[in-house]
Amino acid sequence: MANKTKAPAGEARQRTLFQQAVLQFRHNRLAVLGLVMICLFLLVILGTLIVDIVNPEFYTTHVIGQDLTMRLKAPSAEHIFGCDEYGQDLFFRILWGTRLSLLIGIAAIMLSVLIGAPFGMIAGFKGGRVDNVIMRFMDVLLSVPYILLAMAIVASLGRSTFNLLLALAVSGIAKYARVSRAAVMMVKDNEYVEAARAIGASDFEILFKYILPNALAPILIQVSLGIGDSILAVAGLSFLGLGVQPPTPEWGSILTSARTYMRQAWHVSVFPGVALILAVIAFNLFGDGLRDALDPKLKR
Amino acid sequence: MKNLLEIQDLTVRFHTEDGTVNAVNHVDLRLEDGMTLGVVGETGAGKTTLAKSIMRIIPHPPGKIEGGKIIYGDRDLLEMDDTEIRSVRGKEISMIFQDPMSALNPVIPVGEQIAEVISIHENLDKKQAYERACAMLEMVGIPAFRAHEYPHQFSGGMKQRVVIAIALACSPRILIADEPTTALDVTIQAQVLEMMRDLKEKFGTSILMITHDLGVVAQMCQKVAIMYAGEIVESGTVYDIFDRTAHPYTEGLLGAIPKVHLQERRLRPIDGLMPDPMELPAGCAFCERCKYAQERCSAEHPPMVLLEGEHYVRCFRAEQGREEDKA
Repeated sequence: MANKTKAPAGEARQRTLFQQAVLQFRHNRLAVLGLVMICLFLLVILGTLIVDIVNPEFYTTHVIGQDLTMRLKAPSAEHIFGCDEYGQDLFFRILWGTRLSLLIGIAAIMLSVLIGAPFGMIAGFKGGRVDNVIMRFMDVLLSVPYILLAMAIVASLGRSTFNLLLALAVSGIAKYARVSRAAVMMVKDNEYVEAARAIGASDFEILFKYILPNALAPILIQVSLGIGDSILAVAGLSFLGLGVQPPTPEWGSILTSARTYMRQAWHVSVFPGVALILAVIAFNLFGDGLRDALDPKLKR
Repeated sequence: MKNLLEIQDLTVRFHTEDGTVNAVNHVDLRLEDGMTLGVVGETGAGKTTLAKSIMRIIPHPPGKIEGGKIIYGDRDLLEMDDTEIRSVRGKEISMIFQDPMSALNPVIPVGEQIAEVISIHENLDKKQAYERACAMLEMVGIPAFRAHEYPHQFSGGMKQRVVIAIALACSPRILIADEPTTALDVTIQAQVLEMMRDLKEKFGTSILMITHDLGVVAQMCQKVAIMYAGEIVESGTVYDIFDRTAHPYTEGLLGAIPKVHLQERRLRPIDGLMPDPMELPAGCAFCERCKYAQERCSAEHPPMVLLEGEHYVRCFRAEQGREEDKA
């Protein structure tokens, strides 16, 4: 009898919520595919970084090195994705472009969340006047279209990679403030929050131990889905000439120049476009899977 | 007997956009040391609001404690500042919530949730607090090895045990139990009530038992207060209420209980509904549904009168009866 009570029935009982989410996630093949694709992109970024450190010459000769004799060359064994209008190797440019395209997108979202989420949480938790002041300010940010706001910021601060990042981050703040506010408001009326108050917990403890962990799922999901959008926005702004400046490789800026030669050289626009689509799909699949794994209504 | 908690003239209102809800109106209530006081009334009578006012966890806005005093020891709980009231909550007075399914934080293992209240109020390190949490779990009949499990891995009755363990973890003087067994099935109800009775003995806790179940009252309480439309309409010992029923509403409540020894085809419910707490009548709140109602009842608000001992009732009829007895 004593033995029986000590051995819990089945493995399932020992799982933490995190492990359960992982299990749930693994059942979703598309989500796993998304995760694998994301890992591949990250490997590419890591690989190009290592090459840059080990052999800095490689970047100057192969990635931004121009060879006008190879201008708009179609894909061949030597240049598997072909060459662009300056004879730069498209394959290497796309590989090296991954870094900026993805990392700016991800970093911008992180920055948006880090700034927006605390404001949204406080607004949702405190309610009343605090809520009104914070959210009306966010409404002002929201009243200007995302891309337009980012363009305005880049235009006024000057064109640079950092300003692009900043612009995207600022234009995303309101979105994450709203998401976190809604998530907090949904959680804060639960009885366990009231119960936490009844055991003498302070506002701070309630917000971080009771509300945040329960409100985290919708915020995380929005983030993982938002990364796809953000990557597109980086490419979009670069396409408009407001982002990364050539010859630094970035998918959006490669696409800009490709536009002119679309009739003569299909490969210049197709390959970076495909890379972009794959990246966005990867993050969206991952985000969808994350939502299914973390959604308590679908669980168990 | 010493009064541990004394509520004087407590009035709580909710100011909503549709109007003002008079949830608790001039309630006087005493909880004596070591006693179990039952507060009985139907849905919407203001029982839970009363309980939450004592803990001062009425959501504000829209709720507001408009007047009265809640004396605990020699302090008025309503005058304490935030830090002071926080040190009372969970330590001196704790509360069991109605629905154990939602009263536990779903993302924290139960052991840690019990340890949480201990570490807020007692000067213990994490490990010691956790050990005491495990001891509390054993006390409510849950093996300690389940301390690392999450609320969803427990059944309803088990969750209520965990909630009780949280409430009793710091050995509070007063336990407010807000319909602790309503969400549980009857067999588990009996277990939980018996456990509460045992723990009350062990910890010397006084209990304020909020319920709509007169069976629970008969089983658990020494004193009873009947609540209707935000007021106490009758109060006294459990014998006063059951054997010497004075208020027509209490009579109606008792009449609505099925009796095993009598063959009854139908239960006798109290006809009608409780008055809208936004527009309470000028007279007696129960007068619309009362079979003894007189003209006076709809015009005048009956005062609380003492019948005998500590048996109080808010009804003109009882008052008249008493005067006739005297004559």
